[in-house]
Amino acid sequence: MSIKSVARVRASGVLFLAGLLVSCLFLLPVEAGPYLDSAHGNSFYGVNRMVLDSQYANFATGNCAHCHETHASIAGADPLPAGGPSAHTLFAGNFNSARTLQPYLETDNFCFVCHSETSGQQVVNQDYSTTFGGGTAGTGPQAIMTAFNQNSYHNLFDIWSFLQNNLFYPGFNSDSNPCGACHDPHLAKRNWDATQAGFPLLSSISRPDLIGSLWGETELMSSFLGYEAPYAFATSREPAGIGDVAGVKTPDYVSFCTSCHDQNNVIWSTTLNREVKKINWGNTGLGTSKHGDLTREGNNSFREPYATAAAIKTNFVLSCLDCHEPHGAINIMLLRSRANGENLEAVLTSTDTLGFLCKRCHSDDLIAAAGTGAANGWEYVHHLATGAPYPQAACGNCHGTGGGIGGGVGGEPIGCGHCHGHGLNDSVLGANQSGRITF
Amino acid sequence: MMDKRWVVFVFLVVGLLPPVFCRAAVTGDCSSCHTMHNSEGGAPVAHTFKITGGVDFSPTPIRNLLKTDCLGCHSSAGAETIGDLGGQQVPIVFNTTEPTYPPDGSTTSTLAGGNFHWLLSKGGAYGHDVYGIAATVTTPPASAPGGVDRTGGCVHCHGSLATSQSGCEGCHVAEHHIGGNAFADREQGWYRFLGSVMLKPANFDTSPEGVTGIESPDWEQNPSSTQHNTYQGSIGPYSSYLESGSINQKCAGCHGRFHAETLSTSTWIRHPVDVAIPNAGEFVGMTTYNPLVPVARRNVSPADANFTTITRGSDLVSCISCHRAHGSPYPAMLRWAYRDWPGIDSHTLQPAFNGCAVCHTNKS
Repeated sequence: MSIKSVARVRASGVLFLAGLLVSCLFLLPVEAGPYLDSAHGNSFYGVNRMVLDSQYANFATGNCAHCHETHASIAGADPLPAGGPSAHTLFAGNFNSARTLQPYLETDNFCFVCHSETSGQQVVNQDYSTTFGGGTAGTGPQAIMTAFNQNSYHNLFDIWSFLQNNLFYPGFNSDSNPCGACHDPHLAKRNWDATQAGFPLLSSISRPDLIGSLWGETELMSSFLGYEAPYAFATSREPAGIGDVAGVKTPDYVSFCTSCHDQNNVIWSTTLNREVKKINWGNTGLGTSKHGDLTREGNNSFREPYATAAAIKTNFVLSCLDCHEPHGAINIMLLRSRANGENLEAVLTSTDTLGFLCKRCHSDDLIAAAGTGAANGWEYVHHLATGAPYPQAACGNCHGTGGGIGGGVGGEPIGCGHCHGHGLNDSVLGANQSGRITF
Repeated sequence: MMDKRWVVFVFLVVGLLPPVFCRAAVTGDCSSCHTMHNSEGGAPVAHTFKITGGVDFSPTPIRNLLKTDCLGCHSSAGAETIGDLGGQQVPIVFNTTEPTYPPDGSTTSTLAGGNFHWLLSKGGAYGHDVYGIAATVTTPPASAPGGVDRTGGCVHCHGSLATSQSGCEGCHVAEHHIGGNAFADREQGWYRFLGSVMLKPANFDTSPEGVTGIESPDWEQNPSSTQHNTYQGSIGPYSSYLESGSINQKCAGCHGRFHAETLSTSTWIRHPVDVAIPNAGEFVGMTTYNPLVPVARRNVSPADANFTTITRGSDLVSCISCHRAHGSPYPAMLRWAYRDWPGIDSHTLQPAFNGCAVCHTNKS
């Protein structure tokens, strides 16, 4: 090959590479910003209304028009789903405040038009137990609306009622969507996709009192020295098995959730027909918890990874999402169906069976090979372990008919919920109480 | 007796005055526009522009002894967007050869109002359906998109501009013989001759109400943040036809429902217009005037010419912040490839511009 030919080939190669580079630049939008980084603004998997109205096939995925209608009109007709103009120029009503209890329908909440299994884009979102807790994909609710329609749920009407016109939560009014309390649709990222750079700290949440910003990408559970990430699978940690022991890959859900559920706010639950419990995750004041920042005492009968970590970490501070789902759950009180690397063995339908969750981190009689020796038996922890609070001296004082504790008759185990729950102690035992904080 | 040198000096000063002072209104030979008998050498002079190219001469005279109609002067078979009529510059709003978009300062750069080219080449969604370019409508609809139903003769403008009774004059009240200043109010025949059609009195008198504004010397052929039109807006409410001087009130005459924007809770249900850009939140990132997404200003005065800095809390979002009144390469006559973002602009084949983010600075 002559020098001239070589030069020609090299020149062709350079031109080809240059062309390729230019083509790549040409294909990739050069802009980047918070909305484009969000799940809704993504040009590949972002919002797209073409399933609802075929004329939106002419709009780029992620385009504003898939949610907003500036005039509620295209060529003189209201695009589908029709219904006239709606708050915030959305294509449908933001929230049906007449829906005070589940079941929710797609028409009750603008977000559900797509975040359901039956309408719009039918966006797949699995629950925390599956996405970050190691659960088997496809086994739980597959959409947000489905999650809200389970046995327990974050009541959207109550969120809507609590936040509107509340000075501490600016920007929320009667035309607001309760989902917007925790999610900014223009910022929220696809947080579940392990293939994306930044996973698992791609945030989909915004603190209700800190609008206009994402929460949990730099605000981490590691700020609590006592956080110990639970297992997701075997010995790999949450979130999603790629977590860090100290929580540097876990958003600070404590500060997030307690921005509403703190020790002061009075929050009515239409579902429960009572106020929800106040949460004090600190170590002073009323209603403190050992699962929060209150110092541990006595016997704890930890399972791994907590048993080993307890030697170093003198006090554990749990993340709310170590136990709770944010949207809804098959169990009572939005309790997860999988915790610390294992599925719960039963659906929790009352506080009497909370032990199926407790045993994920604490040794029941089966694990301890003591007491009754039974799964979800708790004789060992309460009576036999070193530091156990209740001597087996006068069983009938608590378990007998004279004990006066509902469910605790004839020597049967006392329902967990009498003593264990946010802000509880064992004062229900009267003269037999240990005086300990029991949660 | 006056020194002759003073006379020479005055003539020199007058002669050297910049031509901008006689730009907006028509000057020059009457015969550039008028014909006394519609006849030259026995052939008709009156003509209309053919959208397929060339002109059609007609023995039927045109009113006001004009040689041609609006499109006859303001159209071109080429792509140049400023024409020449007897030495007078004429803004071209309809080019049969595609002009350049977005405006780039070239001689083919689309002017501020947009261009009817795309109405012809792409369809009704790409331009106002004016008579002479759009297919003629014999039975116009009762209302334009966003309008309320009208009856009788009202439908000729409020239902469609594609009727012989409406067309360009459905919006414009031509006042070529008066004014000439860049700052245009009633004395100048209103901004872009956008006087009230409804209130137009007898000939030789201007409409008492109309749109106020300042026109860029080159009709924004080469717009920038320091050289652009200035549009008047008003927070209303409106009470007459164009008493506010707001260009948005002009649009609302036919598309008024698009101007009904809030619930009782003050939450927007449509995108607002004639509303102040908040000096808060994401809007604080909006600082410099962008001629591709212009804002309107209240109580425009000559001092507002080419203002560069947005006055948040006062300057207003306008219909023309997003739309080109005549037409654009994009559906709904939008100024940028709204539908294509985030992706590739179907017209320029470049990454689509996110016009929304000019105001909604967090939505990028």
